[in-house]
Amino acid sequence: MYGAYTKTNTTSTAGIYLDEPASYVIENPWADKITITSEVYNYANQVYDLASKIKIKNKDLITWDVTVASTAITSVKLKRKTEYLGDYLSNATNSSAVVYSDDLTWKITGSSYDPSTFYGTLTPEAKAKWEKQIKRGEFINRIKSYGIISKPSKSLGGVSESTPEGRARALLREMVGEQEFMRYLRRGCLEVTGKSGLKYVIYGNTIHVYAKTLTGKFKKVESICLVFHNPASLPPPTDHVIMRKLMIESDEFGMRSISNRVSFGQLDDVVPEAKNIIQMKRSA
Amino acid sequence: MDATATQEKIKFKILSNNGDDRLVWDRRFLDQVHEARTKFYELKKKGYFAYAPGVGGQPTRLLTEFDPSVEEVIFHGMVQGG
Repeated sequence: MYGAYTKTNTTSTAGIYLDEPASYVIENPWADKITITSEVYNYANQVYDLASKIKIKNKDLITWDVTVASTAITSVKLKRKTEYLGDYLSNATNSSAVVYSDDLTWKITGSSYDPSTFYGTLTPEAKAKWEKQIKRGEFINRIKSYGIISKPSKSLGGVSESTPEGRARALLREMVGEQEFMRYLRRGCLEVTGKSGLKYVIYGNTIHVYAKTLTGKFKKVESICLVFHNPASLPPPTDHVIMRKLMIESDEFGMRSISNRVSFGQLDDVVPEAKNIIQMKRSA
Repeated sequence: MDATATQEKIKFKILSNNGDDRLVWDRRFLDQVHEARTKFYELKKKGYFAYAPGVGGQPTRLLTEFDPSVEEVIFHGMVQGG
């Protein structure tokens, strides 16, 4: 069995790279050989960074006993369940290292401006161990979940983080926190209050605006449409939500001046402050 | 990676049709700061909006100038009324 993951990043001479940690997930941990290729320059910290983002999904299946053996790298011995290959690499001083373990041999090679390669091979003992577990059926469901196609994430509302929408949702979760994000998944919208006091309920395709009434309740007064300019390269729906949230929070009036708005109902019972803003912008 | 190194990492998150593209750089290295600055103005020139998301109750800020002290910057492309 052979598993491979190749990642080509946009890199720069300064070693800056565009990447996503989720991109480095090894999906097929029981493969005889796993190859991960990435463009990494000869900077120790970037080798370390890349390694730290290689997530080994079978961490609960193996106890690793790892020695980092290289003239340039301090030897590290670990015997514990771990999640990231980078856990083995500390004090890396250049971009070449070899990581040995009982079950796997990881080798990291690379020179300046050449792609670096990570690969691991399974020992026959490790392979036999996993096959035995597979035959016993103990890990059948888990193996299915380790398939080449990423498993949809429940925490992201059934979308895999390897998809654009999954990544957008993960970013939104980072921004608003777990509780607010779960509410977004349940309701399909995000609530943001502008500096004006107007309440904006942001959906993937529109924004509903609520103003406070004299009785203290909120009333829907407007519907706003604001979209990305380039229809040929549209970000996923949740990125639209993020964009609208950022615009409302940072430049509410600028956002209102750019967007298309449709009004609802009378404003007689709306508090004067909100009424002024809505009327002012309507006439603008 | 030690905590100090983590603190020095700056992320540009650029909303795109891939979800978001990320640019990670380290403000301890001048060449990376220079490159990030170039990227910032390159995106601004293309009409991108840059934000420093509010953290710990701080309001979200629209960035017009490159600021290496901001830990995270989110970019999105041009927008229009739909």
